[in-house]
Amino acid sequence: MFNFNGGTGISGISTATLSLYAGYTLLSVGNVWISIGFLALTVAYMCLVACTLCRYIINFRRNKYLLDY
Amino acid sequence: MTINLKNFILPTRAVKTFFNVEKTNVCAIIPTYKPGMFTVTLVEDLIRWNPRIAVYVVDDSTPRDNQETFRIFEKITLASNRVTLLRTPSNALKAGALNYALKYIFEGRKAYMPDVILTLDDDVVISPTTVQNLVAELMSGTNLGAVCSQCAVLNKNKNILTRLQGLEYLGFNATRLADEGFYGGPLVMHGMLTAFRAHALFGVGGFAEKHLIEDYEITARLKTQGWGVKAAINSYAWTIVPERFSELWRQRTRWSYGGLTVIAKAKRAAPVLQDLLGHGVFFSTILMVDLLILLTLFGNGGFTHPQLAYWIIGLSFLQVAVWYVFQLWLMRFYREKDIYDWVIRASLIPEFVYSNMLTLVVVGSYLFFIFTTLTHTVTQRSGSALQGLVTRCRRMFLLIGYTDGWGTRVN
Repeated sequence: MFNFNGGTGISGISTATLSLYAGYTLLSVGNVWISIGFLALTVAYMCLVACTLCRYIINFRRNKYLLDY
Repeated sequence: MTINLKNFILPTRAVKTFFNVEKTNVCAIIPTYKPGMFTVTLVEDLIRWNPRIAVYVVDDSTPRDNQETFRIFEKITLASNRVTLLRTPSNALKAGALNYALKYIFEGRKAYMPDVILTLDDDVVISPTTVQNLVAELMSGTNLGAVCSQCAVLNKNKNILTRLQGLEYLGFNATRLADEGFYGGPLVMHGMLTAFRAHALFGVGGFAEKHLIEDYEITARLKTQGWGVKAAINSYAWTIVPERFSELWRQRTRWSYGGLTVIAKAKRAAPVLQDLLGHGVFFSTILMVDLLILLTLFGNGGFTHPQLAYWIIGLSFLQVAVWYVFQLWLMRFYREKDIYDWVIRASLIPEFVYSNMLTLVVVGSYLFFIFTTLTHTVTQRSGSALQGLVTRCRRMFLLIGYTDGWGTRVN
């Protein structure tokens, strides 16, 4: 799913594709504040993705020994 | 639990402690309604593979209208003298049935005090080491209040919908691992198979009855009281998932709306942080998209620097790419996978459609949540005309699967 941060209702949310749509629309019809808002949201979601991946890698390495049994 | 930004990247490491697994008293509670052979097999497997376990099967007032039901309950009872069959006085739904067994254990049998209480769905399939590994993980961490199993889909080969859920559950397991040590741990200790530390479970007062998702609700309460939770990476369990779209839709509307009610009632942010972040980002994005559409339709045209738009597009592509690579890498842990699962995952399209269907579920649950919040006040104050309107709207929501009045099991 287009999601890294879990949740009960979030697994289907494809924020990345919404941002893609917004980016293309902003190329033709623009508003600088909406653009900045979208950029901030995209960066925020990217940070969440990166943090979740970091935690996954760390926890995977910590628990990997359990899979060896 | 206070907000600590370092915890977003570096999960808290659990302190491991010694315990004697041989002396750990474990009991399992299986609420059931109209059980089938899966329940019999589950009880037999629990008894066979766990020599000290006590099993409580709670019949939630199943109608005794046919011979097959009698035969199933007879087989369950005869499985072992470690099996106790209880029956609720009236249908109490899953949380009510669990509480009924908890009351029986702690009030009626004071001589026996379990250290660990397992709660299981009645259609779960386990392996010989599932319970042992679950208990070992729970008891080795002194701060842990609950540990849940990995989830896999037993009927994943049935059709494309079940295959998609199989892939989704793989993602759920990955998310739970990522959330270990992150503000108390994963968001939900699922109802399918979770081991609770007995005094933690009783410390929070058991399960909330008539709640849409009692597993999320009790996880949030455990975290609020300072307990940590986690998923056991080596404890495998399989379950039956909905095979028809209508069943899946109803299940997900319940999860989604139920999740919102848990957030709304949460006393602190930390126990529901993952949901708050997810809903926050999504809701903000939806609002911004709405603004953009309005601007496109009614605006006079404006100017934005193309670089800003290119950054948005670039970051979005990067996010999709990272996600895609990670999902492909995760496939190595999908034990039941076959070529069709690989095709579904690699081709992107089926999961894209599926995820957008779930997005609709979330949007619907926002609308229903707003509706129930507003009408809570309206129905108390207003006349019959307005009440009639509210009833009609409620029926419309019910038609598309949204209700605040059903329990975990619908039969």
